Amino acid sequence: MSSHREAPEISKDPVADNTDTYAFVSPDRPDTVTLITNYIPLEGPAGGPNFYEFGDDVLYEIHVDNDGDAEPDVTYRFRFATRVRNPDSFLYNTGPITSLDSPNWNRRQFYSVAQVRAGRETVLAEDVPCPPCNIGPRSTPGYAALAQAAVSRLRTGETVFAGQRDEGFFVDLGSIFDLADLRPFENLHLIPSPAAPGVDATKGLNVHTIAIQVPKQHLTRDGSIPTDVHDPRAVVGVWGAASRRRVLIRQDEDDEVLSGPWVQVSRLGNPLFNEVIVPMGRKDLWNSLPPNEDRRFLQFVQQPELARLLPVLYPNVFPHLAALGAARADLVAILLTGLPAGLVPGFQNFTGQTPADMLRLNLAIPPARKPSIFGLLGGDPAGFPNGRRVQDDVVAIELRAVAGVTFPLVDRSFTPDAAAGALTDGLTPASNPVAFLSSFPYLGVPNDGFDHPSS
Amino acid sequence: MAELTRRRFLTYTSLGVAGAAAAVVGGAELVSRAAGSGASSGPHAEPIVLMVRDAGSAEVALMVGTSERIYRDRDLVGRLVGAAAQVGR
Repeated sequence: MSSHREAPEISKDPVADNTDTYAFVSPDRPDTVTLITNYIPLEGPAGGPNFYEFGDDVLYEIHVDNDGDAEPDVTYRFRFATRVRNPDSFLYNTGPITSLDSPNWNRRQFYSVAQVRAGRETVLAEDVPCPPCNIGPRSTPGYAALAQAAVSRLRTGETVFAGQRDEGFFVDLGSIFDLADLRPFENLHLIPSPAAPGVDATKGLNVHTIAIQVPKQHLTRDGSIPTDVHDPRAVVGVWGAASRRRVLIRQDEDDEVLSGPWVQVSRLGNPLFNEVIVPMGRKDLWNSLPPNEDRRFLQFVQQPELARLLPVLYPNVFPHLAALGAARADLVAILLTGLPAGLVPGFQNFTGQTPADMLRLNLAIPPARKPSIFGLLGGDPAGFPNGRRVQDDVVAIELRAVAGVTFPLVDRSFTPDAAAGALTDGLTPASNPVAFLSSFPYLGVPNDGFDHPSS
Repeated sequence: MAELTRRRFLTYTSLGVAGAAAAVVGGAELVSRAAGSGASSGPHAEPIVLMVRDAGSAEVALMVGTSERIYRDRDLVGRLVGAAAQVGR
């Protein structure tokens, strides 16, 4: 999965588990960029009475690098606080929740948003309300409008939302984790069975989303609004991170002491990086490090384990990939440096020689009129790996890239295997009946527990 | 900051939460200053936590709020190790 439960330690800490990060020029407001980080993987909508919420003891951040050193130049920092109206009730709500200040809503959550530049933190907003979780038609009637009321426009120009959303990342987990089986190709698998359509394992599940829409000029190094694709100032790097205090001491009763600096426990730039590229013994370390330390993981990008597995698991399907022994400079460019000018006509998202896992978004590229879910591989430079949009099929894109489709970018003598360009887990955004929104926060209305008691 | 003795510091340390920053700072060598966005706003405004990072090198980490400093104090660490031996009995 993109980064759900991708490392041993963070899999035990869902509220701090950054599952997906998105960064794209807003299709309906192209003068802005939308940045999204998701947390709490695989929420079953009926999971009450203590429904899902952000961690009051977690520091959530979205970092933006605008000068290519893989260090944050602009950070958006989110802190949450839970308020309980009646601690003597076990109920989340005592009647229908029809507004964000409904007296029937017992356990509410609020958050602050701060911006950090040059080490200086500026609070942009405080006491911003989250929507409730989507419980069911009696508890949260008119949910879509109720949640939309939690979209807040700030005086400083940003728009923010933090709360439950439909899990928009579509992926066939059941097949992929069963020895990298892809149902449409399982007749070709080492342990074969008849080919079948993909199954969206995240359909009907929810996630918790932190989203902020920012004027472009807030993110660039010189406050400009980029218009030249080849201008280095047009490219920004984006990643999400969650941190906890270094020390937690449990005292008597329910008293806890938190102390020490914030320590990063989760991060995410490119989808599937820590999940698929980084080996098991280093995943927790990777989550604790900043992107400018990713040189330590360069070898795993240059020689990805998955590229060696595909020819074994699909005998005689990937002979060219099996014979490819060269370091994967194409994957290094896609995942760690950005694509320099000259590889793809009219495109670049290069941030320099510092290898770092970040989403790299060229702000000068306008939203696509007819987006391809295969992004740049589909001839659509507005999509992944130019940032990442909610509908991008990052599973297929990365599978195809690892299988060798992008190696000709750096070695024109290489011919990818015929199957490489067709790889897919058999899913599209239409596999999920919950549609994406056409405006902020773009991720769909979460599934309610009454109608999705078991997903 | 309140004046605290090393003896009192040792007493608190047995609970894992100590209140003797002044005593540590007074006779200790500052090894490093970890990043932190804020410190205690006053004496005892927040818990003070001390951790012996490495008894061999006598390094202790002192945490106040979101700040952390690393000191090296062989005398203090020696006493703490001795106290720990007593606690473990």
